[in-house]
Amino acid sequence: MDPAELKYTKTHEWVSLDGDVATIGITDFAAGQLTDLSYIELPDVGRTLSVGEDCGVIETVKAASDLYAPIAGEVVEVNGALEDDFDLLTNEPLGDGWIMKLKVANATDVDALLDHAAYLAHCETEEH
Amino acid sequence: MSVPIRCEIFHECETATGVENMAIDEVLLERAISERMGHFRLYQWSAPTITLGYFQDYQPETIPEEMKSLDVVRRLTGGGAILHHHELTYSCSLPSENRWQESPSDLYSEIHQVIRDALARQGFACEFRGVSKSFPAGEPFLCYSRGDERDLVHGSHKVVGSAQRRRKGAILQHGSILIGRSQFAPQFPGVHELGLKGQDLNVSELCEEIVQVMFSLFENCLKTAQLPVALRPSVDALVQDKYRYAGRRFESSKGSRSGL
Repeated sequence: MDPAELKYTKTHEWVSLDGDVATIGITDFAAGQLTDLSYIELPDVGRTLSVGEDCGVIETVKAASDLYAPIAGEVVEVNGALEDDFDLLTNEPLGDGWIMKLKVANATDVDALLDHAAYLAHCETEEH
Repeated sequence: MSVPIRCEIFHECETATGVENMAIDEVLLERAISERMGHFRLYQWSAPTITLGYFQDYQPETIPEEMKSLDVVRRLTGGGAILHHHELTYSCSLPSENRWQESPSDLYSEIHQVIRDALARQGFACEFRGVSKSFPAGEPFLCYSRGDERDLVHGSHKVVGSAQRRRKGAILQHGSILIGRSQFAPQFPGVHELGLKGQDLNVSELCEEIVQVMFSLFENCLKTAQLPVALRPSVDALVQDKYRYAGRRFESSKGSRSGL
């Protein structure tokens, strides 16, 4: 994925829209905080998610972190490979480490997300 | 960006059950998210209880034989199982945009430093482990067998450990201070046996010490004696709707780990 082509949330998820299906993952910034990943819980295919809804959990040795739906839609696919190979998530969060695909309920949800420049500016703010 | 955190700090004199304690901590986390109110809570348990880390299996064979009769409840936080018996628990819930946001793990070290100093004033010396222990075959079931570099240890014995849940930028951190050896896990000596040579640790004084020093970690602190009454209905609702199922997984899971 080209980072400049993606949309982002302030909670460090990315979204790539192709037709009415959005691929969703976490950003390099979020992946960088996941050391010693031990478990991942993904949403069930077919589940309908609203914007901001908790839809999974990632656990490192000492912390469990929630995953969110950046946009509303129905889960049409999850990346089951993550359950067997956590390195995908930490090493390739924008590529093979994608988390789920949603059939988008409302395309304007995507328009409301941050573009790459705005997301980088947000990360700068968090770091200072 | 870090913004000042309003924070309520309370040491509860009354004990509560496992499901109540876990429901209270989840309500406090949600309050941190919705009202930007932080909390530091010190508490104990009305009966010996096992809490499981969020992702730990709950199967009869995973519970040590001597603990099978005890109540079990699942925490929101990660990490290993804790036996809450002769033990002091804390929870710390912080809203997003806190000063630990860039490196949430630093919160372990800073709170443990406070606890280490408070224990030292009670005559008990402990230190950071410094190096994490590795378990290639899988992490042990009990937290007190695990080894994180930020644990507080006395010699080779772990006396303080913590774990976190991160939700919408907010942090819930649970921690455990092992006060004394439990008959249900006699392999783990506590502060009482390790450093005080049989003298009784004054737990109330220790709590006061921790609470006083904790004020230095947060801005706009207010000390209170108990859970705000207005939060009680939310706690009761969680007890009924979620935590009454004790050790069961709260949400449906697609993962390979099974529930009850």
